[in-house]
Amino acid sequence: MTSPPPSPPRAAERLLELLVDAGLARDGLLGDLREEFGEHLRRTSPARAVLWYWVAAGTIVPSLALERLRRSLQHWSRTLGADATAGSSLSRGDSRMIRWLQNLGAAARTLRRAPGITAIAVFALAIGIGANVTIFGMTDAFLLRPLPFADATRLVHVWATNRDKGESQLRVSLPAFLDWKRDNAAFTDMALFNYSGAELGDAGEPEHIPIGRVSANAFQLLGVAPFLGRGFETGDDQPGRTPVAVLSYAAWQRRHGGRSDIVGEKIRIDGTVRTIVGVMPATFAFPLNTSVLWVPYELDPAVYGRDREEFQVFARLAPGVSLAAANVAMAERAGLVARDNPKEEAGRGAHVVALRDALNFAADTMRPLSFALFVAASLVLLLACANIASALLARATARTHEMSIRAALGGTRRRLIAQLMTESVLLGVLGGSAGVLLAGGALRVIDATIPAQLYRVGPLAIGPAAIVFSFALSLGTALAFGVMPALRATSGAVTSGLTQTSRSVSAAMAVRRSQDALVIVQLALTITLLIGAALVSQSLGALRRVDPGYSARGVLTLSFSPPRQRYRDDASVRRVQEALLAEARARPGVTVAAIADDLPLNHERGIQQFLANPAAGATPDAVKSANVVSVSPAYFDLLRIRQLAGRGFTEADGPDVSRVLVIDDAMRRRYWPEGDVVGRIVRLVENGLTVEATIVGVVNNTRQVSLAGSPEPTFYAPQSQSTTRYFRLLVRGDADTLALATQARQIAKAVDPALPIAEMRTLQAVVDQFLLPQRGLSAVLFVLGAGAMLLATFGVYGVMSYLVAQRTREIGVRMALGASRADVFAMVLRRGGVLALYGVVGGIAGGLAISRLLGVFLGQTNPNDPVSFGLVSFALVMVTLIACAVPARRAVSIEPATALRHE
Amino acid sequence: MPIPSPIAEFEQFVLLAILQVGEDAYGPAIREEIARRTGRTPSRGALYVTLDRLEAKGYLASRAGESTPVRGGRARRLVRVTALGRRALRESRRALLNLWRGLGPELDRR
Repeated sequence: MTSPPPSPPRAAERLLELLVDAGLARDGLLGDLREEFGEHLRRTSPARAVLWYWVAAGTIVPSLALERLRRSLQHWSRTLGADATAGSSLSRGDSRMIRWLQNLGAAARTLRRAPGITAIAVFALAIGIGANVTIFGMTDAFLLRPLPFADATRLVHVWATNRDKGESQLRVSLPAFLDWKRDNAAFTDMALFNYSGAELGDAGEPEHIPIGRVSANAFQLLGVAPFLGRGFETGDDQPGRTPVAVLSYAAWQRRHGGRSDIVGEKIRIDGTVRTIVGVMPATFAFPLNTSVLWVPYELDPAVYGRDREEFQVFARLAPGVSLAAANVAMAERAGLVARDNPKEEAGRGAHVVALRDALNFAADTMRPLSFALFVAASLVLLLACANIASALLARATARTHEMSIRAALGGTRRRLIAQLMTESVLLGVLGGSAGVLLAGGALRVIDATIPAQLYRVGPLAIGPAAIVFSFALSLGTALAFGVMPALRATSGAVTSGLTQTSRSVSAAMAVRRSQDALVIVQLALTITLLIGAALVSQSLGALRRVDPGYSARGVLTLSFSPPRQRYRDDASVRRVQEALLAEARARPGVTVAAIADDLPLNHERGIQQFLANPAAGATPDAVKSANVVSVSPAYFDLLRIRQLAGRGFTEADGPDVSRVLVIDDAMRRRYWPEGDVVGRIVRLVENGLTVEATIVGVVNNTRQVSLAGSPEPTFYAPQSQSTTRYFRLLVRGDADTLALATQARQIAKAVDPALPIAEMRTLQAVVDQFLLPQRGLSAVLFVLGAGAMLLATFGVYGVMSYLVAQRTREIGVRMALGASRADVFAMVLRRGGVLALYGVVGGIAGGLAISRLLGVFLGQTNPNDPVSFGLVSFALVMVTLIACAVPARRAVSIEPATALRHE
Repeated sequence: MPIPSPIAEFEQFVLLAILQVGEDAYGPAIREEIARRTGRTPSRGALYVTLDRLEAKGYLASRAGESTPVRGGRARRLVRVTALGRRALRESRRALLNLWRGLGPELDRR
């Protein structure tokens, strides 16, 4: 007796067992193989035998698998050939699935057979869905996605307000914050933060980076645990502690290669060596997306008195406390604080807003913008639906015969509709996919246009929510444009079957009415969009034409913020300013150089209170406020601001002589409309005291904060008398700005190699960015309007071609009876003209509605501007007639004899 | 009496090989017979699929043979050609001979 032979590989046997039903067939196959395996085993080695078995099994598996597939296909087709329910071994769900797959295949074939219609439909949907998904993606990132913090809807921002001055977004001093926080039942906790910049690295090649300064409890309050190491601990923000820092994930990856042993390393920030104690997770963004790292404040009450109002406050609402209740509580608390400190806190209140609205400081512009864009995109999608429905309707009529045959062969109406709807859904999904691709590209463009500082959650790209949205949109659209044609195509098909030799007159009339309605809808929507675009671009044009009062062209601006460590007092800041100016003037390419704290139209404004008439006393009513810009003497010359009276600033207006001011014309008209203003004395309110200052000159108005409305009163103070640590160097040169930029870097380096340039922009870029919402809205509306017009033109062309084709016989009869070619041409054009006129009526109504919606962005532009309405309407009527001309020519070329044989 | 549907070339090979082997026809023996007589060894996959297909058509019947330890205790699938299978073979032969008639010299000419 031989011992039982070793077995063949079990896995290979299992594989084969999967493909052969148990029984004689399986025993036969596996037994045969085992027999042969035994032979191989005897003749060669076990390893070779096993290898042989695998090879043999490998050649058998594909044949068996294909055979099984063939059998199941046969089974399916037999099952479906008979009624799905009769004696079928398939479950109901299975047969439904199979029928759906069959429908899908048939739908794909139908779409391929009509490539023209399919292409236009997919194009239309791609524009409509793409526009919606783009705007959804934008809204998602800026307004919708939850903030990357725990239970983020309970997080709020607390602004200080000044009722007397109408200020609603003021920062807070440390003592005021502590007063607010003490036993405050409205919040579980309150914390401090501020946007800040810092110099990173050693002296020599410092890098200026955006950072967040926070109180030690900030991360706990936000409810975000560090990715690595620890966050800040209680006491980290008290004076005398070891300086620490927490890195952002991006900085950890980029600057430190994502090393896991980073915790404990030292890093030099603003000249202070700090220990890295942790890394925040990748999703964490606060208060900017670009914040590189966080450092705790050193909250020394001796340093941060009530005069240093430089903190922003955020908090978490206590359980059960609403935003409104928190507002009431905080108003009361701030009122008490103001009463106890009448000198510093007079008029102070508090205002609680959702944290998101405070982080995204453009939220109040973006909400109406998003809404307006959504409406516009929805209109385009609606138009696309009307367009496709119209095309499908034309085809539906052509397919009545096909449907009758199908009905005669036993297709129920439900199944015919299901087949047609499958086509629509397939179109919807194709268009939706194209739209998502389009949206992805559009979002990249938008990402490059919108400043990176604008707070967003996650990337500005198609996220999961946008995918779900686009899918829902695709299906919804498919229903919208598919239902009517599907009902139309199958109506009568089932009831009258093949006895209906040709379309009945009433059915044809019904189709034509539906088509006319769809064309009118398309024209009306196009006019609506174009009116919106025309109004916004008109307002943009008006804003561009507003004289800002200065010349931005050819001016380069550089931001500096000399660190306190090396530039301790105002005098040292003044010295660096003077050195920068001297260095700049010495450069060959630079013609003028000046210093200013704020740039015009840069969403920043300094406001100063003053007593216009010191003799009348300092009653609350007498305290006025105006924009203030702190500038060096050459500022007016550099920006080509004209001197209207008196003088500008000179080097003589130094820190130790009496204070001087230059006011603008708006300020003169507002407060001293009569008499000579030069030489007048006002009192400036500073730190609760008043300081005397003499008006030495008047300059023309400049636009500091807005291009709309009338210019706001603005005055100028010399940098030498009110020095600001954060300032801009402005240079104007005869060279182009690129060459100027190279010069500018050298200027900074020559003065102090360790002085970083925080930001370098041309003044023109600042102005352009100021107009970004209007520019963006106008561009988007025009793109959508153009797409709409294209689609509407296709729509009109399609319907008129269909009309001419349908009426070939009628036209032939008319011509045979003596109608001239001109008559026929006019007949077709007249039809188009009537549709266009209805479209104009609808479009004007839509235009009136959309101009209300766009109100915020229109500024001074008349929302009912007859020129815009008229021009757009006229243009659309013309385009409609041109779209009709081609089918009309075809009608004219009809030969009566041929036409009479038609059908 | 059902009319046999036409059978493919490989199906004919298999049926004829079964007849040649006789009583003890099973997988490896059939494969060897085809290889010996045609000079081409059919793939195992094709052979077993064809056996199943021919049985489904009723051209052959199978019964369980001995189950030896060499076979891991699995029975041999012994096949024989049914009467229907024989008729199908006759039908194919008739059709082929009719098509071939007179073509011998024509084909050998080159």
